[in-house]
Amino acid sequence: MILKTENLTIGYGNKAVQRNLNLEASPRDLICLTGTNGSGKSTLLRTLAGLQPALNGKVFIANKDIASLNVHQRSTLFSLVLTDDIDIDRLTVRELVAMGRFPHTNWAGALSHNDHEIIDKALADVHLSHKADALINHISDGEKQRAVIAKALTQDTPLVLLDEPTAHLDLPNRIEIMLLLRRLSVSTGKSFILSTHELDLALQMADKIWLMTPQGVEIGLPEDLMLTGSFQSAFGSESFSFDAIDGHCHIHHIKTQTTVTLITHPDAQPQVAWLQRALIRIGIQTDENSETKIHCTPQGYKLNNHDPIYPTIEQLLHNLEI
Amino acid sequence: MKNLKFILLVLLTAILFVADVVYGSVRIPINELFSGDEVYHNIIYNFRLPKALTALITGAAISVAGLVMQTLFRNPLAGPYVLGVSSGASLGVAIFILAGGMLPAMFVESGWGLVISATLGAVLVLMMVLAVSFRVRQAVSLLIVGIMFGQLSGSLVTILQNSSDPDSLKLFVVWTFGSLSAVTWNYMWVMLPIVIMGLTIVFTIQKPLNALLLGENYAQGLGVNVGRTRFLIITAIALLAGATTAFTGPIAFIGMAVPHLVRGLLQTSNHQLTIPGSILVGASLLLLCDLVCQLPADGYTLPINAVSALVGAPIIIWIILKNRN
Repeated sequence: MILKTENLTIGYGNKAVQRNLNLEASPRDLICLTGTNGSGKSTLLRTLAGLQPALNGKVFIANKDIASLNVHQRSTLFSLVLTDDIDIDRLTVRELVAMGRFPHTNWAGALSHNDHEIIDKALADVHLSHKADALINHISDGEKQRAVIAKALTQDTPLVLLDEPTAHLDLPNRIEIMLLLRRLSVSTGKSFILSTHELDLALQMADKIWLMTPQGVEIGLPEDLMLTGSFQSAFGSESFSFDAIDGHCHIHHIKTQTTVTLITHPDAQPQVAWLQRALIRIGIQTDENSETKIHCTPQGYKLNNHDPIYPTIEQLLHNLEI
Repeated sequence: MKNLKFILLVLLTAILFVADVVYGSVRIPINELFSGDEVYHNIIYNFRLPKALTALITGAAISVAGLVMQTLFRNPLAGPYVLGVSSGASLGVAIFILAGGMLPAMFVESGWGLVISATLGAVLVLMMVLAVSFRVRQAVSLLIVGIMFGQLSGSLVTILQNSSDPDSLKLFVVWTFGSLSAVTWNYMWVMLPIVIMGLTIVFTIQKPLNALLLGENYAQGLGVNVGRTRFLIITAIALLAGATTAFTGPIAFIGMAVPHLVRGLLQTSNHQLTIPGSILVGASLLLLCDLVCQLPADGYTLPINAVSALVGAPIIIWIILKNRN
């Protein structure tokens, strides 16, 4: 057990956000801490990191009560990736990553041959070797986040805590970061605990989910939490629901009275699927007995079997006269 | 590459130091320097040499103070003069001389009293600005807060002046005329050890200073005791800014401007390099300012603050413009 909490109560001042949490993390776990805004994701992460005091209860990391450890001892057990902006005038990616070695170097921070090897490996792990000498203020947000993760790797701790590591990133970078963490948890044997509001990604990547709701924290495999409907009750609302089969989020669109009948063609499955999406979005329902019939073919769409064939959905809808 | 730059900086500092000794408001022919002439010897040994040394030490001290202040406040505009720390040191001296009129004159003249009061004044203002800085995150706002604390110290000094006896007032007015040339050999032996003490502290905390560049949370995550480091930084700033202000009076903008020149020149924010860099560039720049002060010649010199502001103020404007983008 790399991390364990005992009756942990978190919050600020007199206001408890979550009470009596008993959480556990094993080596190699990738744990996503998720929940609605205000459910205490960041508060829990900051409490685990010792950046704010627990209101009650204890946090054990590698079987040591963190309240009894000094900052240096803590820095050998876990490393941090935070939302704090790193804006330093002139600092290279390599210099930033090298800072992870601080807990292991002497007072002057002198780096040994071994330290340099660890830094090189971390840079390679996050695919930043080619940017090692670039200034951190001159690289993209995604690259900067990877550099900060590399800094956490060089710190060489069994546990890495990450607060919203994918916030402020675009979709390809969000997926890239999550895949990177997934790969690192397997290849390095470290445990990663990250807070995120990326439900889709968390469901597909996490070994375990800590789902934070106002009633408490539910723990389980993402698949089990889907099956028990925990996600639906934590996040679902009148405007959307989670698909019971694939877990994707479906938005409940407003429906109109207009109906159409779809006549499908075995070679036109994508054409059918995307037309259905477009119809749901604008509120047109499909009905087998509608007077309006749309023929779907691999070349495009035909209305009531008249010519012409409309190659795009846009042209079809334009001529649908609704 | 960086080693070469350091060698050049050392050479530059040495050349400027020699130039500052050789050139002055009284022209001394080069071949007369070692001629043994009583008057020339007196000017060189008792006036020019301590003045050049003072420029060297003060330039280095306030530049390093500015460097660590910028790291402590995470603000590119921080510096001992702009954040009112120098004014705080002046206030300390004013309270010491004006309100402490009953103290034995010996204590005042030895210089230790001046240094201690200036250092305490610097600590006082530094703590107040730091307390405000936790609530104010914008770089320029902190600058205004610093100016206000400076004004506050200034008005307290004026009030003290109005209500003090003529003898101590005279002593204080003489102190306010302080410049690089006010440091005699006696004062030098007070100023130098304190500056060395301040620089030593800064050298020993270069690793925590680097960690603080990332902010307090990250620094803590890297095993840095933030409270202890902050205490050491404040102590070092107070010693460096206090000891120099006590004898030379406040020197404008150098402390804020030099760290930027150094980071630009060495292309790094790593304190392992910027600390020695600030010492050399700061010493050179203040020696250069002092040389410019001597330009009018024939027994007339410019005030050092006028020249240092001429260099420093445009750099502040440049940084504000750069940060906007």
